[in-house]
Amino acid sequence: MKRLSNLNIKSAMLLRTLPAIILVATIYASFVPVQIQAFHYSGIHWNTDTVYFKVDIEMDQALIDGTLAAADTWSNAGANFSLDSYWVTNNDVTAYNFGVGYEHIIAQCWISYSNFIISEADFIFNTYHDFSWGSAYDTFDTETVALHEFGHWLMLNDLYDPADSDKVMYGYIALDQIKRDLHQDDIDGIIYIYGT
Amino acid sequence: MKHVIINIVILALLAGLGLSCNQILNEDPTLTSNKVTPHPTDDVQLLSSVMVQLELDELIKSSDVILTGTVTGIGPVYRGTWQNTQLIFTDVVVEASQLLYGQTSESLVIQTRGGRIDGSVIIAEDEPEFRLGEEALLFLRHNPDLGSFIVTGTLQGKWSCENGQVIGVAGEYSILEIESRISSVMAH
Repeated sequence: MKRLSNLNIKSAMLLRTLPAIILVATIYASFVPVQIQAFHYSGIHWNTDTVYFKVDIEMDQALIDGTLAAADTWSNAGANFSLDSYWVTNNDVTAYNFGVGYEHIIAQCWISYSNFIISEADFIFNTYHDFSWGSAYDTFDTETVALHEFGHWLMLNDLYDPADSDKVMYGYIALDQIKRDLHQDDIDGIIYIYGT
Repeated sequence: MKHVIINIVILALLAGLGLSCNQILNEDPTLTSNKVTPHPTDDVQLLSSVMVQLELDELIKSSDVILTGTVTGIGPVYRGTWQNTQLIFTDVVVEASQLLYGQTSESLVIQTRGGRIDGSVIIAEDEPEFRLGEEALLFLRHNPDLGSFIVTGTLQGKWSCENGQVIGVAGEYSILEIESRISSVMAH
């Protein structure tokens, strides 16, 4: 009987301190980015389930075609999120030469955010390099590159461990490399952020 | 009474956590590192790049200067604009300790993308982190427009350096091995 009442007192104390414990755990969790080996997500996200983007029609057709195909791949990943091409948006896909010293960069993504919410995203192909939509030697495949850059738009971060080289979010791409399908970990990443 | 004390202790810990987070967020990171920890209310531009992977020989071939040195100064500057955004760079001052290839003065400035000025923050994820007082092996490209340097291959061109051993994304070597490799690559 005494043991039972001690147990009840402990349970009651636990219940009374539970709100403070949950509060502490919640605040701690909000400061720690999700860094799972499968994918890396920093906690920043869009406040919408459809993001519109505009491709620069002055770009080579291969860049446009690869970009549109990559957007479709992410839109069909099974998450509650889609990337749609539209004319009226600040989210641009463009191309220019990054200049001396940045030749190793194939493409670069710009994300604007505040308070963990993204307000704008752009990405730029570095025209120092030759691109094709998978049909020419010594070129970078536009769809492979765009698939990676759109992964940044979703706020999946680069992975640099060679063990991650099959994933779209691996931070390096080689000449003539074709990687047009999402790895299961890439899919898990978008679903983790935006749900199904 | 006991649970009241426990709650007070937990809330005191919580307040302490809040204070330390506030200190971290208000700390001027430019004093000790070129990498910025943004405040939640900052207007942040995040740059992420997909890159060509550079092996050691390619790093050597692509560099104008290769040296070991110590970081002695870090400071952000506005430099140019892109799409109506003022670009923030962080200049890193390095005192060279051993010049392995090329020519440079003893003290040199390396330009890295990103930094914080007031409430504006640019984060370049692929730029290497430089910490004040840190010693590093650096593969550098000369930037003739600015009279400064940039790191070859961004994060690929800065290696940690300790007791004559260097570690980077392209492997782990002794300084002597790096010197020998430079001679071999440049001879061809």
